[in-house]
Amino acid sequence: MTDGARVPKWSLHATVRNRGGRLEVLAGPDGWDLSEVGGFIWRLCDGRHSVDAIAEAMVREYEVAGETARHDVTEFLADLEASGLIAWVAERRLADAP
Amino acid sequence: MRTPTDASGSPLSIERFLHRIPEAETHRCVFMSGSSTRGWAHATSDLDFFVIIDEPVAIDATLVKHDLSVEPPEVSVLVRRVDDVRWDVEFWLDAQVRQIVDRCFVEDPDQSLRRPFTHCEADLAYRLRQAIALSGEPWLEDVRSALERSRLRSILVNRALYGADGLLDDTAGLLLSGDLHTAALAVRDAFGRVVDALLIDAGELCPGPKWRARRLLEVRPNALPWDEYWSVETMRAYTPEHARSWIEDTMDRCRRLMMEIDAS
Repeated sequence: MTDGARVPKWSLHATVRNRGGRLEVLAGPDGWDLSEVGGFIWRLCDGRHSVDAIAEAMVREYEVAGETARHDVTEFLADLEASGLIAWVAERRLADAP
Repeated sequence: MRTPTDASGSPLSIERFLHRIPEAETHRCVFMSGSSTRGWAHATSDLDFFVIIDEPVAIDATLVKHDLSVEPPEVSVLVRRVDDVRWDVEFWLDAQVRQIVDRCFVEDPDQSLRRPFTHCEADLAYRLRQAIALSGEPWLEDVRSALERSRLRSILVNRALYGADGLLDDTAGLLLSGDLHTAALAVRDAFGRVVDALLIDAGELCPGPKWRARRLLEVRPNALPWDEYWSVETMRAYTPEHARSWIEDTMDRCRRLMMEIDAS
């Protein structure tokens, strides 16, 4: 599976708040106040959109270049993953199996 | 101003009330609130009355509520049958109500986590919004108008979401342990709390599950169509064979709804 085909999903322990239109996400002690673009990406981490699909949605929404969008999405998702806020769909299924 | 009525729809005056509940003779305000004042009464509905007093009165209480964080932490309740209808009469001190109202003005979004309203107090705040006065209308209007200006909505939204967080965290742990039956029930409860938060955000303050379906039908929020709500609430699509995916889908549904609820 290429990096772009990977599918991010909110982690089982992630929780979220909408504070006046801005999203705040938490998993344990790690919390983030998301920017508008961060919130846009977060909303698409629903286990149905690949990294490429999220980058394409960003190109349409914010009129940025494809490469820029892909780079920003990849970097942002890596940060979210490091904070335990997202997991990758196939990996999570395997990790969660009792 | 609406006119209070009894279970048969006849006007209910303060004199008639005091004839049945003489313990309430010295009061600042007496109001009715509940399904009857909301127009949701059913064949065996009781009537809920609230008597606001300045000083404690000695009454032979049927029960005493202790689910309170205000001082003093108790409320006496009289339960009487009047013409075959149950009357529940709660005696609240004005000072207790003022403490609840004051707390709704603290500018701190996390206050509901550090010092949450008890169910009893959240219920009173809702009741005040729906109340019809039998006596002491100015007191009721004063308190109601203060609540309208306060952060009550935000506090109750965060209270419901905080409850949902706990249940979602339980669900995640139960999933990881393979206890799918318990996880399914936990996530359904979490979903209910999130729906409560959605309704509170839309101005429907009633805390608790009793009238959830009816309130949703009145509000009809765009974020949650009725069929979707009813399917999860009744676990219509749940099967033991696909329990894990139903649970995870419901967790995701909770998170999507949480993103639409203004918790500021």
